Amino acid sequence: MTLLSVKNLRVTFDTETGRVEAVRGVSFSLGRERLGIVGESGSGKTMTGRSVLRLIRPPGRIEADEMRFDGQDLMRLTEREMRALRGPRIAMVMQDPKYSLNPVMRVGDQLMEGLRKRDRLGRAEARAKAIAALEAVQIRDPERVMEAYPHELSGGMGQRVMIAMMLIPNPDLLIADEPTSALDVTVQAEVLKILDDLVRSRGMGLIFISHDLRLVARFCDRVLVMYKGRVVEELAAADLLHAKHPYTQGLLNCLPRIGGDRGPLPGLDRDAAWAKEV
Amino acid sequence: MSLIEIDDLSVTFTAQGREVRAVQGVSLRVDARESFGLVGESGSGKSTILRAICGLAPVSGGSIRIGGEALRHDRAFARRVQMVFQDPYASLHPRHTLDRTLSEPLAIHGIGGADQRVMRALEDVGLPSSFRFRYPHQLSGGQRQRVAIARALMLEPEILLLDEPTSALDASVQAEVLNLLARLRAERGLTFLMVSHDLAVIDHVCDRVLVMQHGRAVEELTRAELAGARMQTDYARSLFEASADRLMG
Repeated sequence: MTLLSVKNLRVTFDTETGRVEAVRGVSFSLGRERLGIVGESGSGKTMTGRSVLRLIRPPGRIEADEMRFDGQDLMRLTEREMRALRGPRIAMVMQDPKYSLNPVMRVGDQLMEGLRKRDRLGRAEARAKAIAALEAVQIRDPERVMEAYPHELSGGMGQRVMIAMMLIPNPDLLIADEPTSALDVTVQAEVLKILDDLVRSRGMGLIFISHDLRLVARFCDRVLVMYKGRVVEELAAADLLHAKHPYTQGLLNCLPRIGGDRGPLPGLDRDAAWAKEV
Repeated sequence: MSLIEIDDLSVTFTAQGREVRAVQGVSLRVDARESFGLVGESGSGKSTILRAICGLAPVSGGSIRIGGEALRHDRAFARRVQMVFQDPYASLHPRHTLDRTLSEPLAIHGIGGADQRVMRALEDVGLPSSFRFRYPHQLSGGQRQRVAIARALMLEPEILLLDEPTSALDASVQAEVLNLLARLRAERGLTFLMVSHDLAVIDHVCDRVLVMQHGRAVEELTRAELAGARMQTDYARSLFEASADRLMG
């Protein structure tokens, strides 16, 4: 069943120096599965993710032939209707907990804010739900974390708090934008495992945005590879080692490997022709 | 005699009456022209060791010697040892042009010919000379890290301390910066002491690596031992298993 279908998505910015097209004709559809979007900085992967929530500020503009989520046309919804979707139906986990959590508000108050204001729960009930959410992301001492300010948490803990916060309303679609790139390798593996378990057990759709092709390959069912605002290749994650497009191959080969030959790492060829619209 | 000799180093921070022992009794040796890696999770004390060498962390026990001499943080030290920080967005002065950033160490040390040296430094790290009067916000992350490397090399040091120099960068840009570091090390005979949480990066750059956890040294591995997965401790093995390049099987 298709949860989200996007056809010919474009994001353009009119700047003083002319039009910048960040996303140019991206199409994909997503069921209750895990879709990875990979590319370098500036490839438009984050803009694609944000477009689904219509979180692009002027002068940026979103255009699409179609952008349907669960039967609703996202392009036609009013801002008020979009607000009802953001959070409860489609949630987004941002890259860096340092910049995405409110630094002057206790973690517990941030977790409970939505429950109190949106769901109109009482204080005790909201608190119980927030603690349960922290336990779901395997935070061992949720009582302490509830009382902590974000700067008192490590990066891995902060990212778990963000995931907990996004999962409280039980959304149908989760967009995770580089959710682990600020984390250590071992913590990264843990956070991904938590995310994976939650997505599976709740039957959510997931859009996983990352610049790390190996991570995406391990974690997703399908992968879109983006270059300069276009999808250059779409393939099953299992087939990634047999990628046909030279850009995808380049992204794989530029990573060092344990036991590699330590020669210069191959640079990434960037062919302007790949960015052309066909 | 090794170029860098660290014996039984301890670093203790005191905050609100609580003591945090960030580094506890770590010893290591790095020979001249060697490349040595420190690997571990956040909070394992690996960056603190680099900061202790630079005098940015309070040493509470043990000793650090560079070239056989006890550490003194004077100008001579700055000409021998320089550091490249993790975040190129935070480590460059946002209101200084590259020219000012790169010529400041020369002015402090009374070195002439700043004009040519700045131009050469930009060329060495693969930046066009037209970038000279740009500000950091006009550069990408990879370009900024090149500037940070150029700044560290202005005084022609022997030792570069590298604190996660590529972890804030895209995979493709990481490859460019790693290649740049390898070339500069070969050309100038530099000694690297590099911190990273990515074993694949450490393996690519370093001859030996010390695995750290909770402020203590866990295990030292040569490159061959790492590549052959011949680690003795469970913790080093778990880091190896979690390494991203293992994930694809």
